Amino acid sequence: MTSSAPNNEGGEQRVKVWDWPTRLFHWLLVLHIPILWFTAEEEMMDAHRAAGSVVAGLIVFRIIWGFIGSSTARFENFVRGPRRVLAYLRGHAPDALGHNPLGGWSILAMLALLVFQVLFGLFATDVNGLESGPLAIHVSFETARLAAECHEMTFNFLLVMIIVHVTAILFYAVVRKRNLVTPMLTGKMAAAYAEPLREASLRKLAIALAIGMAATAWLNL
Amino acid sequence: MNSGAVSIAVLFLLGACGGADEGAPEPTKAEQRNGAVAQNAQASIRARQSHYKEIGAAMKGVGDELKKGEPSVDVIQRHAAAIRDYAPQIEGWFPEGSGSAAGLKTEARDEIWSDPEGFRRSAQAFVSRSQKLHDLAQTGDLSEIRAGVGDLGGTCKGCHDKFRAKQ
Repeated sequence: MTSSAPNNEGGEQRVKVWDWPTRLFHWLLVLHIPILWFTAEEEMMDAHRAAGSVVAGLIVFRIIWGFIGSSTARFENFVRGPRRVLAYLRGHAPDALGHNPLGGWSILAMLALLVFQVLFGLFATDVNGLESGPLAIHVSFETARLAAECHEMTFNFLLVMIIVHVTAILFYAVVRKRNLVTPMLTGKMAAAYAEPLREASLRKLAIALAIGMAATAWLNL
Repeated sequence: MNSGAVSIAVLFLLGACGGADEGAPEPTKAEQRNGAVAQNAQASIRARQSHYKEIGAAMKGVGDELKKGEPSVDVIQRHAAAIRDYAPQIEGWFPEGSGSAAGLKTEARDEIWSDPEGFRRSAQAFVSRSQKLHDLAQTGDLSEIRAGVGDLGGTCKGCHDKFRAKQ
């Protein structure tokens, strides 16, 4: 359905779509998830806690960035109502740069799962009561075991979301002939939209980075 | 929000995962039809699961204490004594027939009964290390206690790797 391609109205040019903090967040997350899986499987719990605290900081950063970041990173710009999602599914081109109305919800679901995944990990303990998340000290053994079970279950949900995410990217590449990977690397894509990316100020970036890094540091105390 | 409300919120959150409870579930109808032998086996499974939870809780109790700025040797001694007291009972927690055939969810592997000597050795290792930790706790030397916890934890893991089903 060529009429649905967002680049067919008017002239198309290479525009900036993702700012570098959003891209760096994305690829650091991509790097850490297999590390977290591997260190859990191999029972390398010191490394698992270290990598987990980095992801905790990344998530804190991303949520703040969702409110004060550049335009395409903001929730208000990509979380759309059901009517827009349905319209998009029927082939209407999205009216703004960034996540499409459906993709926006998958980003939100992925972030929510990551929040739960980190929270459960913080309170989890192993069956021996030997290895614990940094906040497990505040809950009973039984509660910490339940957190560990939830930690494992949420990971499976996360895997499903990752598969959906990668499948969608493949769908766009093969069926829609749109490369979504390169823009996540370079920040630029071919598009034709009146409204360009509004980049957040360095001051806001400093605030979001400082809070995210503080979260990671606090968990390593 | 008071701490009670926070606890309720946390429990609610965790409850959302459902079915994650490792504890002894209520018997099903099929289980109720089982004979007395099976019921004894199921009682053994329930009892040992609850005892193991207390051992786990005591292990976590020691670990939690060691993470505090000023660990209470008193608390550590209490937990170490609980573990030491449970340890020699472990071998008796696995009567014949209380494995996967008992009709109750258990992570006890059949190797416990097919390799009784190996299981005995693993259980004995736990007994001796738990006595060691108990003795170290009496000295109040935190770095020694820390090492003792690591050693004892190694025997938990050692036995679990061989005789407890991986989830």
